[in-house]
Amino acid sequence: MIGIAWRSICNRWPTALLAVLAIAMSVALILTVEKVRRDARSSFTQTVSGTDLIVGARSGAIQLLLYSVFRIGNATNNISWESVEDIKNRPAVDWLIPISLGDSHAGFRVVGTSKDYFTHFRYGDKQPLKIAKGAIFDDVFDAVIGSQVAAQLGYEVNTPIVVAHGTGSVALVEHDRQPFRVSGILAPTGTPVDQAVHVSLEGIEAMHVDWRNGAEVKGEGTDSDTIRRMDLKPAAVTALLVGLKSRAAVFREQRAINTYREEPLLAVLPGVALQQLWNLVGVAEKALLIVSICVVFAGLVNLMSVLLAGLNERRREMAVLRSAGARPGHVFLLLCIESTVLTLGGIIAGLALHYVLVALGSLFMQNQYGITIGLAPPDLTDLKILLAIAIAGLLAGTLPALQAYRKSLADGLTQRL
Amino acid sequence: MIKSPEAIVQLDNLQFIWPGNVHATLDIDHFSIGQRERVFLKGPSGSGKTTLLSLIAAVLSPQNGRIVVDGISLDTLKGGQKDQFRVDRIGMVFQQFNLLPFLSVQDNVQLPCKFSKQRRATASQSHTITEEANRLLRAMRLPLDDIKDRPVTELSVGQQQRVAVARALIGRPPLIIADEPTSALDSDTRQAFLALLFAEVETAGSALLFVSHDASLAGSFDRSVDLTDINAATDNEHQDSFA
Repeated sequence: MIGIAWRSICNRWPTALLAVLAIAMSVALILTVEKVRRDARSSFTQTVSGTDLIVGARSGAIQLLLYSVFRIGNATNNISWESVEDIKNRPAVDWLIPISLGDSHAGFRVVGTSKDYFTHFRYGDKQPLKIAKGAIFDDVFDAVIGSQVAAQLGYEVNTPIVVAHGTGSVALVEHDRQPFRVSGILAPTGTPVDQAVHVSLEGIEAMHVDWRNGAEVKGEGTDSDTIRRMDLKPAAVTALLVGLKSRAAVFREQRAINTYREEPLLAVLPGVALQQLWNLVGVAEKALLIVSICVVFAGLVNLMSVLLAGLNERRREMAVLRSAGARPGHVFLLLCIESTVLTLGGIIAGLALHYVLVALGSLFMQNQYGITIGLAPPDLTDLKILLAIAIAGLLAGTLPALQAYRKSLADGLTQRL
Repeated sequence: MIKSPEAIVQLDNLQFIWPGNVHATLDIDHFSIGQRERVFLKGPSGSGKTTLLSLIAAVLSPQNGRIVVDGISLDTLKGGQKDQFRVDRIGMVFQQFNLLPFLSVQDNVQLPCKFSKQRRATASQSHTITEEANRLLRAMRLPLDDIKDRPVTELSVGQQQRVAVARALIGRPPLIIADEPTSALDSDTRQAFLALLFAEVETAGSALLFVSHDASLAGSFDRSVDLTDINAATDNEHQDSFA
C-alpha cells in the first residue's frame, strides 16, 4: 500500500510539492519564531548578570531597571554621594559601579561611571566587557564608546566628540567647550552597552563646570587644564550596580538599603526585576506565537484542501483500485498514508529551511550586532511542536480519507468520469 | 448454501428496484452460467446490464431472490466479506481506464494479488507472481520487454485492454466479468482481443460473462443471452443510473 501511495503522490508531484511546501513554511516559521522568542528572552534576561543589587532613588523596580540597565527613560531622582559612600562601606559589599545619566551624544546615552564598570560589569553568561581598540578612560575628557556607537558614527580611537545636555537625539545644548576624545572602543555585547558613550564621573562633572541651573554661563568658559585641576568629586549619581561578597546576604542588604534613613532609596534584584519586565514585554512574544500557530493551521488547511481537491480527479484511480480488489478501507488507508508522507516531508523540509534561516540570521546578527546564535539541534520543545504538527497533519488527512472512503463505497465499481 | 457443481453463477427469482423507482429494473426468473462457460450478454443501453453485473459482483443487493456465485449465496455476506469475495473470485475488465497510470504494467497486473491471499497463492503456485504476470502479458501478445518499464499511459488503448485482461486473469478467479471491454477498440483489434481473451480464459479455467451491445461479437461465444428476453421488467424508462 505504501508503494502504491508513494507512486500515486509522485504522479501528482506538483500539487504534492505545494502541500509539502506549505507545511515546510509553517514548520520553519514556528520553529524560527520559537527560537527568536527564546533567544530574545535569554538575551533580555542576560543584559545584566553578576550584579546582585541595583540601587537607585526610590521609584519602581521596573523603572529603575529600565533606566539603569536598558537606558530607557529617566531617573526621577539621584543618589547623593554620601549615600554611595555609605553603601560602599557596608561590610557585605564587594564592589559597586556608579552610573550617572542625563547627557547624550548624537542620540546615544552618555554614561558617567568609574573604572569599576569595566572590571566588574558582567552580561550574558557572566561575560566581562572587552576593549576592542584603545584603552579605558584615563583622563577627565576620555570616553569609551560601545561598538554600535563606533560603527554608526564611524568613530575611531582619538576622534574628538562633543556631548550634549539632555537625552534627545537632536542635540539640545551642546557642551562644546569641553570636547571629549574617544580613548577606547568596546567589543560588541548585544546589550545596551553597545549604544553607550562611557565617561568618568569626573568627566560628567567637568562638562557641567560652566553650567548653573541648567543654563550655560556666559563668557569664555573654563579651559580644560583648569578643569583638570579642579575637585570634580560628583555630588550625586543616578544608580548603582552592587556586587556582594556573598550572594546569601542579598536580601539582608536589599532590606538595609530600602530602609536607609538618610535618603529614600530602592534596591532591586536584577533577576526579579527582569522577570517582571519580561512579563510586560511577553505580550508581544505571545502575539508572535499566536501568529505562527495560525500559519501552521493555514498549512494544515492547505494540506486538507489539496487532498480534498484531488479526490474528484482521483475518483477514477479509486474505482480502478476498487475493481482490482482494494476495499474501501484500503482507499482510506491510501489517503492516510498520503497525508502522513506529505506531513513528514513538510516537517523535514521545514526543519531544513529553519536551519537555513537561522544560519542566515545569525550571520546578519553577527555582522550587525555581534551576537552569535548557535545552530542547536531541535530541543524538547521543538520536538513537541513537530510531534504536534505531525499529529495534526494526520488528523487533517483523515477528513479527505473519510470522504474517499464514503465515495468509494457509494461509487462501487462503476467508473464515473 | 447450495453448492451447485455445474453452475458458477445462478440467479433465482431475482428482483431489483433502484431506490426511488416504482418499477423494478430487473426481474429475472432464472439465469445461470456454467463452469468454464463463455456467455455473451447483450441488450440496449439502459436495459440493466451493468446493474446485473453489479448484483453478481455483490456491489448491489437485490430486494428479492437469490444469487449464488461459485457456491456462495451472496445474501450471507457482510460488507467486508463482499469485498473479499469479489477480489477472490471475480476478475473484472471495464470499457477503458482499467489501469493505474502511476504503476508499471507489471505492477498493474499484480494488483489483485496485493488484496487477495487466494489469488496470490494461486498465482505463485508454480513460479513467482512476477513471472506469472509476465507469462500472462506474453500470452496476451504484448511485447513485454518493450512495454515493461513504460508508463501505462503510453500504451495504446488495445494494449491497455489486454493488460487489463491479464490483471483480471491473474490468480485464476473462477469468473471473469467483462463490461464492454471492446467498445473502445476498432473492429480489427476487437476480434484479435476476443481471441486472446478466450484463449486465456480457457487456460485459466474461468467462466466468462461478457457484456456488450455489439451483437456482431456474439457468434464466437458458447451462448448468447439477450437481457430483454430474460428480464420481465420491460417497461424500463430509467437509463442514467446504470452508466
